[in-house]
Parts: sequence; structure tokens; C-alpha cells
Amino acid sequence: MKKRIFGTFLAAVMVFSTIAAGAVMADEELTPIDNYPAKSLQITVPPSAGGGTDVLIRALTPKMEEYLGVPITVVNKSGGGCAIGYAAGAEDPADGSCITAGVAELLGLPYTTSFEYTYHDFVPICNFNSCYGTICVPKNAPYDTIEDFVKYMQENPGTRFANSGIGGPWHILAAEFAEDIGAEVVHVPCDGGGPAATACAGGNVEAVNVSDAEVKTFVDSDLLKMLLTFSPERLAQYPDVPTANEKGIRGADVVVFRGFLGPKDMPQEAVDAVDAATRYALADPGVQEFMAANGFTNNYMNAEDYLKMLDEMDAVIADQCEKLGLGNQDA
Amino acid sequence: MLDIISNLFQPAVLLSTLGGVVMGIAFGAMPGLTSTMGVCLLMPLTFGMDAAPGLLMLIGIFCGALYGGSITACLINTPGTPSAAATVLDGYPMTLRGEAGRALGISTVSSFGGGIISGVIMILIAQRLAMISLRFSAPETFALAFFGLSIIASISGKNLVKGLMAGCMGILLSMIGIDNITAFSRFNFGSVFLMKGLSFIPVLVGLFALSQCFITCEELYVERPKPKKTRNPIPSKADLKRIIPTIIRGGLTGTFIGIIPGAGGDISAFISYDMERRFSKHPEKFGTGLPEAIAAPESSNNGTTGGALIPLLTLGIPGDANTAIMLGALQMHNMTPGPSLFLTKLADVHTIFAGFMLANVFVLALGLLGQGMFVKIVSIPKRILVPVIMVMCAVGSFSINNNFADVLVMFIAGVVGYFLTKGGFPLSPIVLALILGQMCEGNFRRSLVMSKGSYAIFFQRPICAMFLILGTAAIIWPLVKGVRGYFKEQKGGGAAA
Repeated sequence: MKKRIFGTFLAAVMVFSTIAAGAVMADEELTPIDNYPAKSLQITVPPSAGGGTDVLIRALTPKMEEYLGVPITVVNKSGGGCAIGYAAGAEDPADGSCITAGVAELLGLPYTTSFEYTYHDFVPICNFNSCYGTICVPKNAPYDTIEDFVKYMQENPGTRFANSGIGGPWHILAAEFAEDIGAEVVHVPCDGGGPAATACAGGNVEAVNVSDAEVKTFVDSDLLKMLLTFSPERLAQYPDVPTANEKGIRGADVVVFRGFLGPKDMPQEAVDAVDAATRYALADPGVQEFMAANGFTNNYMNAEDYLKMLDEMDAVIADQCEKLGLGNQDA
Repeated sequence: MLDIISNLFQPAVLLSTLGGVVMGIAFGAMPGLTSTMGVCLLMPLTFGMDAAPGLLMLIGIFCGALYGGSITACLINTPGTPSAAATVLDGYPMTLRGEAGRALGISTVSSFGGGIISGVIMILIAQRLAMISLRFSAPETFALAFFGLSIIASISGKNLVKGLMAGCMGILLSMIGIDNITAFSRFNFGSVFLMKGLSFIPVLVGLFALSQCFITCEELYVERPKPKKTRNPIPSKADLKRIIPTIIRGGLTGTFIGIIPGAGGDISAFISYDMERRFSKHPEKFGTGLPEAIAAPESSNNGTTGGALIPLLTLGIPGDANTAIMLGALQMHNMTPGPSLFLTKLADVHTIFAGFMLANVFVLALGLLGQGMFVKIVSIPKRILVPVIMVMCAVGSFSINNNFADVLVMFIAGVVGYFLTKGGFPLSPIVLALILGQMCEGNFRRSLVMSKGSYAIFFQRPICAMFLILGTAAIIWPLVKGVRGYFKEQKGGGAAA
């Protein structure tokens, strides 16, 4: 009883605060449920423990637990470039007791490796956070605007772009960007976004196109300058950096997203409940404060929009992987 | 100065640093559990804390774990962390002589010394040194890995050919998985588990810990020399005199390696061991339990702690996996690393510096105080100790990715390690080659992508060229020496005949 009152109170506070903040969150009132179809919920996290996805999901789970009324455990099944986690997640029982964190790596796996699971083996539940690519160049580079850099790229074939890994979303994004502006580039795959940014900060490559979170420290410490962001809106921290859409450049469809996926035959009732639990957690002031402090934006998408984004991005990856000649083409 | 002290000597700060060091030592000592895992697991706990105690807890784990690995390395021939893989070489022989306490004392003092040296360097010239990490790109990292591979000769023990064979085995193992330049799957036999290659820890745990269990099983009823009672845990004056120059060299090497992104305590420990052996007057005694051969890797791996923090704090570039997680924690506490950190949050930075020193003092204190207790591990009857270690091996391997396949890898590595040991093959070259193989290959190919196919990139960059020359010299020199020795012998032999 006490818990219920507390929950209602929290819900009231959070609804009030979201309205007050003018947030774009669903303004319906969510009250915790007590009829979740499974006794517990296990969230499989394929990216590595301690990474952004893991940290964010662990921040969301206490509130999701409160909404669903069942205990949630987060299980890290990392390794194999997320393949191990997704292979496990796709075979989980589809009774609502298990879901998997859906991140961009899943889309690339079937194209670059012999991995046999695709996002079609899962049912999309919702998306809660997305990161967008940027284009950054070393501080002392002779170009200060994206137009100048595009011109430089067109005149100098073989501009080197560091990415976070072969076949990863940022590799695809760089390929799409280069194709769009009609320049020939050399892709330098690094072991993650941080090392890619370091390579560019040290002047070892001409550009890096990983997310704003990954280049933040370098931009702030005056080692890199950001010329373009692929986010739909300008970034709050860098209001002077134009977006790709403003400049009519393609690439905003390649997104590093974070959402939830369920096993293929997960009951609709459970899908809806997890979706609502995610919205409940995202609306919590504590969670919002956490996300703001860590540079996670709220990019909630319902199942339908999430699937649409997956479809669009999958098409881009299929196209670019073929053009780049990636992976085991014979497999 | 006064406010640094008052910031530091708050119960919350002291307790969290101490707690971090204690947990770090425990994580480090257990085979399979590493400092990275400890930092990862405790990071969420620090979210609720203030910036200083939270970060110092993580730093405490980091420093403690690098020391903790040496406890099991010295006592039961099982490196608790990859960084302690080089400590096994001489630490365990010393324990076999009944001098477990001496081995631990040396490793404690060396860890402390290495940590303090790196701390002093960090405090004095952090901002200037940080630029080294930007200089280190793919070609330099390749050259460093190449230089590292030349160490195989040093750690091969009695039989160089068998050592080289073991090294090749390690390089072959490192090739499993998708290559990171063209995404082509190699040697994974269609298995999802092998797609990105072998996890390193299960192989290490299997090769060292499990195979050691098998070997111990054979001699379950053979009495090992009881450790001599040591009343004073501090190393003797003679030992200290012997290891202090080693600690200084090790600490400096460790700090330098720590600054380099992507290279950490495991590599630096091997490099320091090798350096110590090359400059030693009696290199043939390495591997028999020399004090300086324990001091070198231990001071070096703890030296990487301060080194890794240098680019993290000044540029926001993590020097290794631990500091990569700490980067997240720093941002969490609104302390975005970079030059601005030293302007806007100088007080916090000073508290971190002071806390880092304090963490190393805790390492020393806990290491010396706990020594009597640690040494008792050697006295545990083997029929009790062996099953316990086996369970820990399995749990440790499983917990890395929550994947049972890692336990299988550990088990296979254990069986292979057992037969290799029986055949007189040294195991350290496998581990070294497995660590460096991927680094060497990936960065070699990445360099060529960067240079658009031109090999000149390796010679145009001074740091890179220097390491390549050092590595080549390290490989050729023993050959020259061997050939010269051969001719001398011939001459001598001829004269005698």
C-alpha cells in the first residue's frame, strides 16, 4: 500500500515536472502495473560492461522495476562484437521474461560476418537513446567550415577518416558521406570511438566522424574542431555547429541507437508493458538528471518508429557494405 | 596545500580510498578477476558519492589490483592479473625455496615504489608528458609491439627454440577472429563465440592457474618446503639495496608505457623484466628467484597507474581499459578531463593527486600487514587448495562475459598448458605473444592504411623508427653473440687440439 502511494506520488511529481519542463514526453499518466505476464525480467546487454549502453540501462532499471512490479536483472553478455549477446538474446524464451538491448551493432553483424541472426529475429519494443555522428578535424587544419572541408576532400582524393571499427555504424556513415559529396576517402578502422578520436587529435588522419560524446573531451580541450553534426537538431553544447540536414548532406539516417528488443514471439502484452516501463523510467526526474549529467539524450521512439528506423538504416548498411566490399561475401 | 590535506583527510575520502585498495587487492589476487572488472563493477557505486571519494575509490582499486596480482603469482604460480604474468617467472621459484615472505615483501615494496614514482612524475610534469600519447598512433604502437615480441627470447627460460615455438603458438592464437581491417573471419569454424577472437583472460587463467592445479595434483603428497618464519615483513637491507635501482627503472618504464594509449601493465611488466635481464651481470640466474626479477615487473606494472592517469586527466585520453572506465566516472562528476580541468577544478585535481599517493601508501601498508596472512596460502594443504583454485578459475572465466564458452576455453588452455609444461615449453611467451600479436598485426595494417600502402611511414616517424631499431637489435644481438661465441669456442677448441 505504502509503495503504491509512493508510486502514485512519484508519478504525480514526474508528470508535473515533465509538463513544467515542457518535455516532449508522453503526457499520459503511467501508474505501475501488477500483472506483468512473467515473474521476472532479464535484460541481456551485448555491448561491454561499463560502456554507455550498460550504464544507461542500469540507470533505467530501478524505475522500470517499480513500474512492472517484477525484479529486473541486467546480464552482460559481451564479446564477439555483440554477436554473443544477440545469439543468446534471439534464443531466449519468448514469454516476456527476457529482453535484449538493441544497439546499432546488430544491424552490421550479418553483413560483415557470418552471423545468422538479424533484427528480424527480434520484435522491436522501443528506443530510448540515440547518438549521432559528427565530423571533426584537427584544430590546426586549414579549413574552418564544412564547405571548405568538402571542397578539400573533393580536390584531394584519399582523405583519411578514422572510424570506430570495420563495418561499424561510423564506418558506414563515413562511406555514405563520402559518396554523397562525391569524394574518395580512405577508411582507417580503429579499436573504438575513443582511439579514433585520438588518432585524429594527434594529426594522424585528416578527419574523424564518431559521436559527439566520443569527441567531446578533444573538442573541449582544443585538439579537434567540429565542423558538422549528423543529429536532427543542433547539439545543445555546440550550437554553432551546423547539422547535415541544414547543409543538405546525407547521413542523418545512420544513428547509434539504444533500445529494447524482445525475442520474436514475445506476447504483445509484455511488449507494451516494457515499452510503458521505459517511458515511466524516462520521465523520472532522477533518471533525467542522470541522463543530462552523462550526455545521454532522450530519443524515445515507439515500436513502430523504432522498426522504421531499423529498416532505413539496414538498407543503408546493406548498400554501403556491398560498395565497400566488406566481410565474407561468400558466406 | 592546507586545503588539499583537509580535503584528503576526510573520513569519506580516506575510507573510500582504503576500501578501493582492499577490494583491488582482492580482485587482483583472484585469478580471472581483474582490475578492469573491479573498476567496472564498482563504478555505479561511485555515482552516489562526491567526485573525490568516488574517483579515489576507483584509483584505489586500480592500484590495489595491480599489486594483488603478484600475491598469487608469487605464492601459487598463478598470476592473478595479466600484469602479474611476468612476476611468476621469479616469484614462484623464490617461494619454492621457502622464501614466500621475502618474495611478497619485495613485490609489495616494488609495487609501492613504482606507484609513487609514477605519481611524482604525474604531479610534476603531467601536462608536458601528455603529448606523448598523441604522438603514439598506429605505427608507433606497432613498433612497440614488435619490440615487445623480441622479449620472447628473454622469457624463454632454458630452451630458446621451445620458447620461440610457444611464441608462435601465441601469435597463431591471436589471429583467431575477424581481422579488423577487412572484417574477414579467420579460424572461427563458424562459431559465434570465436568471431572476435579468444578472450585473453580465460587463456591466461587456464594456461597458468589450471595447468598448475594439474601439476600440483601429481605431487599432492610431496611436502613443499614450509615458508620460513619471517618476523619482519619489510625486505632486508641487502635486498632493498639490490632492488632500489630496479624499482626506479621499473617505475619510469611503467610510467612511460602507461602514458601510451592501449598499452598497460601486462606489457610494461614484461618489458621491465627483459630490460633488467639484459642489463644484469648474471642474466643466466633469471628465472631462479632473483629479487630484482620480482621487483622489475612489479614496480613497472604499478608504474603504469600514474602513467595512465596522465593523458586521462590532461587530455581525456584513457591510457588503458581501467582509465577508459574512469573517464566515464570523471564526466559523471562533471569533471570533463582536459587542460581546462586544471584551471576550473584545480582543487579536485590536487585531491586526486594526493589521494593517488595515499592509495599507494595503503598498498604498502596493507601488503606488509597482510603478508603473514597471505603467506599462509602456501601452507594450505594442496588437496584443499587445488579444488578451491579450480572453482575460482571457472568462476573467473565465466564472469568475464557471462559465457560458458569462456570456461571451456580456460579448460582447454589448462590441459594444453599442462602438457606443454611437461614437454618443457615455457608458457609466458604464449601469453606475451597473445597480448602483442593482435596489437602488432592490427596496427601494422592500420599504419599501411594510413600511409596508403607506403612502408616509409615506419621510418619517417622518430619514435616508431627507434622502437623498430631497438627490436631488431634485440633479436640480432643474441645471434651475433652466439656466432662469436661459437667461433671463439672453435678457436679455443682448435688450440687445445
